[in-house]
Parts: sequence; structure tokens; C-alpha cells
Amino acid sequence: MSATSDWARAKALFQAALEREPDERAAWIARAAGDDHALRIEVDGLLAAHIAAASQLDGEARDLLAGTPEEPQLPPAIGPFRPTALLGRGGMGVVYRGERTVDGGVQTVALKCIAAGFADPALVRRFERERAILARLAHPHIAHFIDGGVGADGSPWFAMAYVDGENLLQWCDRERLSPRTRVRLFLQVLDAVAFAHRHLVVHRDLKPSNILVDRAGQVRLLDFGIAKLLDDAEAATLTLAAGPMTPEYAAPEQVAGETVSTATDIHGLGLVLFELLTGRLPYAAANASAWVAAVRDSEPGRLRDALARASLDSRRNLPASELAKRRSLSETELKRAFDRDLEQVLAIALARVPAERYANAEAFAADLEAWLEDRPLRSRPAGWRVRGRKFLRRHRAAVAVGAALVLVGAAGIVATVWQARLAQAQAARAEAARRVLSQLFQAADPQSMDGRALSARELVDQAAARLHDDRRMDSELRASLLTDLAAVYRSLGEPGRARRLLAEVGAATGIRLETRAQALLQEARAAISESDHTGAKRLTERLAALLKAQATTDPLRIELSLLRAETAYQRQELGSVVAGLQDLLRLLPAEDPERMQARADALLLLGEAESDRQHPELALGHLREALRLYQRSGASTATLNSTRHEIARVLGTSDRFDEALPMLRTVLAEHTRVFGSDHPLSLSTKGEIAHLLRRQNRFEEASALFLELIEAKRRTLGPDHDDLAVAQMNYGLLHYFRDDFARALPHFEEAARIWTRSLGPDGERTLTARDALAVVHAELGQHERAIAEIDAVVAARERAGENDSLVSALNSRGVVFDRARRLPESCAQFRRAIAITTRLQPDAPEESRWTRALLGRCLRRSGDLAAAATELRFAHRSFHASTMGPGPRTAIVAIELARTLRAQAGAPAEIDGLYQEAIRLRRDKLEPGHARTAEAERERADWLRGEALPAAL
Amino acid sequence: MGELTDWLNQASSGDVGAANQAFDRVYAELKRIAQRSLGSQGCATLSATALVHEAFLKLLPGTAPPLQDRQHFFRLAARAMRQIIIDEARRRAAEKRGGDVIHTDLAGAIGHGVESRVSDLLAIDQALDRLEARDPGLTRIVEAHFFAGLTFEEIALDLGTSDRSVRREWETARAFLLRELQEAAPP
Repeated sequence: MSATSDWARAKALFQAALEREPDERAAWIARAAGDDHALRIEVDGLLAAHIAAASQLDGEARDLLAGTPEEPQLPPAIGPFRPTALLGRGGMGVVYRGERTVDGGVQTVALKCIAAGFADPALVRRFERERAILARLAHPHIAHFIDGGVGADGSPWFAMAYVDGENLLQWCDRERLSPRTRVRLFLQVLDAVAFAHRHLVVHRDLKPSNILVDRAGQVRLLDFGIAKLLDDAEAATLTLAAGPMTPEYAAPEQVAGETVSTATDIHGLGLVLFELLTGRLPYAAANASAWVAAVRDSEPGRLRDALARASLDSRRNLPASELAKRRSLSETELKRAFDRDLEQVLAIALARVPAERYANAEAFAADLEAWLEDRPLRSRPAGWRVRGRKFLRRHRAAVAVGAALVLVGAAGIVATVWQARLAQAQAARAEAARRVLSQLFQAADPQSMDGRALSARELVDQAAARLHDDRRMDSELRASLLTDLAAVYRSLGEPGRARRLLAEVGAATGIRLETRAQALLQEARAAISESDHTGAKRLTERLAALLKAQATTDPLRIELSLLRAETAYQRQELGSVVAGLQDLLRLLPAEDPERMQARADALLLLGEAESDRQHPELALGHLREALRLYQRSGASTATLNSTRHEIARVLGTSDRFDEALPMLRTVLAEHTRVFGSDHPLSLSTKGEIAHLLRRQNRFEEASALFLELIEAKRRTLGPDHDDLAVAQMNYGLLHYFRDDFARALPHFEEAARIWTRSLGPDGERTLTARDALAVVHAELGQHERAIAEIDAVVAARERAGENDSLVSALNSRGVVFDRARRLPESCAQFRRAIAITTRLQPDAPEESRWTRALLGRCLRRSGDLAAAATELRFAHRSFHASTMGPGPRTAIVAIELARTLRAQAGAPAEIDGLYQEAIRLRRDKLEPGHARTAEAERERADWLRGEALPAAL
Repeated sequence: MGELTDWLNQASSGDVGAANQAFDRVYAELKRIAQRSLGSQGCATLSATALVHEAFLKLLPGTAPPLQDRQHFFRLAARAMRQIIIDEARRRAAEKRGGDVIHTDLAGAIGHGVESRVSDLLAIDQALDRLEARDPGLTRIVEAHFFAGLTFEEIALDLGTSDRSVRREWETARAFLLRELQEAAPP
């Protein structure tokens, strides 16, 4: 019996025999082996060995070397403790029970030894500092951290209160606790976590084996803060204590290697609660890497579905009937216990994006308490009928109460670095004010809202009202909360309300100068947002008077200088922006670490101003220096990437697409990784990429991006948001530039509708949309409508004086008249537009190339062929010289020139060259089969056959 | 450490030299960690599974190496653990024959009265060679579970089967090995 095939038969028979009842096995083998005696002897032998030593070799080979598990080798001492028994070994270390004598009594502890070394003495010191914080963390449901140290070999150890208890899951199963009782017990866990979070300690490794129930039936959390302590250790990855094989309790951000925060613990708590309720985990995955992918990429499953699903994991594959039994319920009752509210709570706790989860353990607990008492959840209003995830998507800001401040803050119109920085500053203050604010928010009464979902705005309104009414609050705290709320209103686009709140701070007495200055600073910025130049100036002066006694290098004075520059920038007094910032920069030594961020802020604003002054090279220099300083001073990733976005944007304005695009793509990837793909910063960068692709005539790529952008903005911002209008406008322009007017129309209409609603009919952006709309109407033959619309736009533009916007409105009116065959009026518009452009930019005649092409066509149709040819040749040259390269407009110019030359009886070779160029460009730049391409081909063919140009052209 | 990943990749496409390189690398790392953990006054004595996991983190850093690399790694590590433990058992058997006990690093962790166990280990190793000739798959499972301390669930995850079937395979291998040991035992 040595051949492999014999063994295969023996093995199959042996394994089949094991499936039988023990007393049937021998007879069964005899029958199955038949006459093959060798086979029968082999299998009998295996079975005998199996029965004789069912448990032998079940330990580890290494135990045979190291001694029996019952007689472990105990180290003589660990710190001041004497190990007395081995409690467990696994993960990354060993746990002993230990003792020491304190004040005559014996203290019993759990000793945890970690096999990881501290290489650096600085890390040891930090470890000792952290250890002191943990030692002060005293809570009835937290196993108290008693001591910790680093052994002579550099491996850290910890002593914590010894808990004689059982794993939470096992205990609940053994006690056959119902889901409600389990939730009640889980509230103790939340209480402990909330307490630790308030003391700024994050657990980071919450899982059932770290949550015990002691003999008194009380929950005790183990290992609080230990993961953080170990973070400094040489092998930081060891903190995934379960090892890389079983990342079952890791949050998406941990799986992705991103920043871990209190939100990570909320996720861990969600997983524990999910398993506590269902006996299963919320993802189905066949192996560890599929698990990681599922955690990272998919939505968690629902409680009910988990029950129905067979688990792939042997520890969790109890049938639903057994799960129900262990919860003292029938299967139907268990299913019914998992109602919509409970599903909702789990969906929020397990949200993939940390900011969408419960802002803190208290909010999580509040919802569970509401569920226990059959009250409506705080996280959703009564009468709400939509599934949890949909709700989350629509009202993510309202759900994560504390995070609302940050999210709403970032949802400005165009995300610039300033907004990123503002959001950050808000986040920092929000963190401090979170507890008070979240209580304010939580007090919002969901039942008063007629069953509608509370918007972030309504939450903020209610918080403001409460703050207004609560007169007992400490005036200092009240002032800073009012300032925070004002910042939220400002970013919600309501600077007026922000200013009313800040006026309250202004009227308050007995608050610190710094608090008062912060409020004034905020108020002045709100005035800038309102375009209230006088108000901004007055507030700036008041702030200056308040800070008169401070040193010029005081942070608030520096803020004041920046504020002055911002005010000037708003008024587009670019010269004084530049002068003011240069003065400020002289006060901020280049390599002073204290002032590095302020210097970067100043350089950033200087870069923007220089870019507006058409000095892209200077702008790039400043922006790159700002980036370097932000990097050196440890600014947030958001700030760094937003600065890169600005650099790329300036590169784009100089047509340096090859540099700008890769940079923007990197920024987009980073923003997406850090904030998610729907975050305003990600969307803003995506929009910039689409814009640059469109300018490079890469329509297919641009089009796909614009559609993504519109969809994402509609989903996240709702149908009436200004940002959605920007995307609609840009996408409409993409079609417009390809002469696809019918497709452009609905997008322009949508943009005009949104902006008219938010900015009024004469708002800057509204006029841009109405201008485009007029031209499209004219192209589509709706002349009266087009003329009425464009006349209104030109009139509004004229009120603002001569600028690029007036030029483009005049161009549009020229086109509108041209389409209506009112040629003298048409030519007059173009001439006026060229005159203005020349006055605005005397050194760049090519800027008017498109207007000149339009004028050329108008002149040709009017019969002034010589003048037409001059304009068109100029335009043709300018388009070819442009760094963007020739595009659809070049084709129009070429055809117009060909027609002019035909009327002048010009050289056929040149005419045919122009036609062929136009056809080639249209084939390249317009989508296949575009009508304009066919038109050009037909026109050339007709000309070759000697036919005259139709009068209509 | 892209190096190991490269070797693993080459090994998986049949490059014997690369497979040996990868094995040597994993063996050296495991041995280094084992000696360190045993040298630290017993406080942080690591289990075999912890050793393997730590070596994994050291040699394949990064959050999620490709599944294939992981599977290769754990198979290699299991084989390396067998090698390390058997080498140590051989060394101790030799010491005993030589009569003078040298307390080197690993020796410090040895308990009392384990001579018979050391010889058991050597016998198991030989039986395992006989199993290898019949059923290499079972040998891999023994290495992973018995020598490297991986759980049935972990082994199942990487073999892409159920842990129930891994358990059945393990029971088969165990029966085979025990029968071989009984047959080899002196009467």
C-alpha cells in the first residue's frame, strides 16, 4: 500500500466512515472495501489511530518544545508584578494573571506582554505620557488601566484590572438574552466608549473579545487606548491585533490605511451590535481579502438579510432557528424585532464614510434608547418612510450632528483653499464645542416638522434659537458658540444671519479680547460675502482699533492683515492686495515655524491676486512657495491638495494642460481617498479637469466627467443648488461649442432657472446663463425670444461698465441679430465688442479672434468682401497660433473664408484647402456623423461641381 | 519589501531558484523573531501563529497584499516553521547525546522533561515525509496547523474551501501520522 492511488481510495473511505455514527463505521468499511483486504487494513488502522488519540497533536508543535500548556514557564517578574498564571496567548502577545502587594493587600491584574520593540527613547517617553492619561480613565465599565512599562528588551507591557468574565457574545447567547435585553446591555458599552471619547481616548480595536461581562452581569471593556499606545511601537501594524488574517472588525478607513478617529470606534460598536443581534457580521465574504474589499467598497447588509443568509464562517453559521432560540424568540419574532428603526441605527453606525456615522457614542445611545422605548429616533423625524441609506444620502449633514458643521461648511460654491481652511478651522472649534452643540441639535423636536426630514439648515436654526434663549450659559462659551454658528450660516450662504448672531457677540460684555476679535473677524468676512464693502471696511477698522495694542506679529494682527487683503481682493483692488500682502510677508520671517502657515496663507492670496492680474508666472511662484510652507508646517492634506488645485488651475489658464491635468488628477485621487468622491472638494477638482479637457477639445472625456459631476451634485446637493448650475452651464457650453444647440438648451435653461432663483435675474452668473440661452434660441430660430433676452443681458452688463462680460454679451447680440438676418445691427455689435477688447487688452489683438471671425461673416453677408477677408484671415491665423490648437470654431472660420474667397473668385487651390481643413477638423472634433461635417462635405462637393453658394448662407 | 513579493511571483510561475530564495528569506525572518521573543525573559513568548503573523507584517508590509502573495507566504512560512522547530529538536537531541547542556537562546525556553517530546517531533517529521509522498496536500495542512499554528478557518480562507473540510483533512492526516508513530514505536 504505497501507491498514491491506493492512498486516495483509503483516504476517501476513511473520511466517508467518519461521517457515519461511530458504531456503524467498522461494518460500513468492511462492506465498502469488499475484497480489497489491503485497503480494509489501511482504513481500519487509520480509524483505530483516530479513535485512540482523538485529541493528540491538537496543540501546536511548539508546545512540544516549550513544555505542556498546563505548566507554562512564567517569567519571574513583569514590572512590579509577579505573573501567577498564563491566561491566554495569541494575537501579538501573551496575557498573564499577575499580582502585587499594595498596602498589605494583594492586587490581582491582567498583564499583557506585547512582542514589539520601542527603538527610540523619545517613543518611550511618549508612551509614558499616554500611559498617565489612560491611568486616569476611571469608569465602571472600563477595565481600569493600572500600569504599563517597557521591559529591558524594549517590549511593552500593560497591567489592567483583572476581569473574571466572559465574552459579551457568548454570555448573551448562554443567557439566551432577547434582542431588547442585548441592546440594553450594549448601552453600557456605549456609555463606556462615550466616557473615553470625552477624555480623548480612542479604542480603535473594539470587538467582542475585548468586551467582557463580569460575574455581576456588568460589561467591562478591555484594552482601552492600548492600540494608540502601541502605535508608536516599532511595528505599528501590530495594532491590528487580530492580525492581517482576520480583519473582521476593522473599519473601512482602517482597511484603507486612513486616519483613525472616534468615528472608527463608532463603526466598531456598530459591528459588535450587529453581531450581538444577529450572530452574524454585516458582510458576506468568502475569504479575508474579499472581506477587506467588502468593508471598503460595499454597503453593510441589513439585520434581516444577515439572518436569512448562510454564513461562510463556521463560527457564525448557526441556523436561524438556533439563533432565535439563543435569543428566547421564535424565528418570526426575531425577524420582527429587526424593525426599520433598528436597521436605520445600524446603517448610520456602519456608514462607510466616517462623517456619516453617529457623531458620538451619546447620539448612538440616544437612538437606541428611543428604539427601546418605541419613540421616534432622533436621527430621523416621525413619519419618515424612506429607507435608511437613502435618507443618509439626502441628509447626511443632518444625521451626523457634529459633523454637520464640517460638511456644510465645505459645501461652498467653488471650493478654494480658503474654504478648505475655513472648514478646517470650523472643524477644530466644532470639536471643542461639539458636546454643547450636539445637545442643542438633539433638542430639535422631530415631531414638529410635519414629518419632513430636518435639513441641516433647520437644525442650525433650532440650535441658534436655543442659544438665543439660553441665558444661563457662560458668556465666553456662548460667544464662541455664536461665532461657530455664524460661520455655519456664512457657509450656508446666509451671511446676513451670520452677522445678526455676531452682533449679539458684539453687544455682550465681559468677554475676552480674543473672543471678541474672532467674532469681528467672522463678521467682516460675512460682510465681504454680502458684498457689503462699506460694512466690511467699518468692521475691519473696528478690529484694527481693538487690536491696536497688540504686537504686529500677534496672530490676530496677522489675521487682520489677511482680512484687509481679502477685502481689497473682493473689490478687485489687486494692486493694494499685492502691496498689503507684501508688507505682511515682511513681518513673517520665511523659516519661522510659528508663522509658516500664516505666511503660506498670505502667499496663497498673493498668488490668486497675481493670477487675476494676468501674471501667471508670478502667481505660480507664490502658490508653489505656499505649498512648500504648508507642507513644512504640517498643514492638512485638504489644504495641500487644494493649493495644488490652485496651482493646476493657474497652469490651465496659461494653457499648460500637460502639467495641469496630471496634477489635478492626483489631487482628485487624493480628495476622493480622503473625503470620498461626492465631497465638494472632489467635485470641484473633477469640474476643473472636465473644463480643461473641454478647452483642449477632448469632448468625449470631458462629456463623461460632466455627466458624472451633474449626477453627483444633484444627488448630494439637491436640484436647486448653485453648484449644480455651474456644472449644467459648463456641460451646456460643451455642446454649444460643438454647435449642438438643441442639446445645450436644456442645460442652459436649468442653470438660468437655478441662478435666477438664488441670485436674481441680474446676478452675474444668471446673466451668463441668460446670454448663452439667448444665443441658443437664436440658433434654433426663435428670434424674438432671443432678442428680448439678449437686450436685457446687454443692458444689465452695460450698467457694470466695460469688461469682458459686456464683450461677450455684445458678441451674443451680434449673433442673435445675424440669425435674424438683421445684418447692419449685427456688424455694429461686433465692431463695438472689438473696440472694447482692444481698449481692455491693447497688447493682445488675438484675444478678439472669434469676434473678428463673426464680424468677417457679417461683412461677407453684407457684401463687403475685402473687409470680410481681412477679418477672417486674421481670425484664421490667430486660431492656428493658439496653444489650444484648432477646434470647431476654426472650421467655421475656414469655411467662412472659403466662401469669401469664392465670392471674390479667389484661387481654387486655397479654397479647396480651406474646405478640406474644415471637413478634417469637424471629423476630428465633432462626434461621428455630425450634421455640420456632412454640410461641409456637401458644400465642397457642390463647389467642385461648379454650383453657386445658396443665398441663405 | 518588494523583493519577497517578486520571489513569490517568480516562484508561483515555477522558478525553483526564486522559491528557494523566498523560503530562505521567510525562514531567516521567522528564526530571528523566534529568537528575539524567546530571549526576552519569557515576557513576550510568541505563539507560532504570532510568529508567522509578525513575519508576515515584516516581510509583506502594506495593508492588503494580493491574495496570491499571501497564500504563497503562509505556505512558505508553515514549511519554514516546521524546519525551524525540527532543527531545534534535532539540536536538542544532539545536545542530550553529547551530555553537556548549552543554554543558548532557544534552550532557555525549554521546559523540563521534554526529551520524549523532542523525539516525538523527530518521528513526526519523518512520518510527515512519508505522508508527503502520498498526499502533499495533507502535509501542507499539517504544516500550517500543527507547525505554524494557523486555525482551520485561516487555512480554509486561503485554500478557498470550508473549514469543515480542512478539519476533515486534518483528522485524516493526524490518523495517518499517529498510526505511523505507533508502528515506528519500539515494542
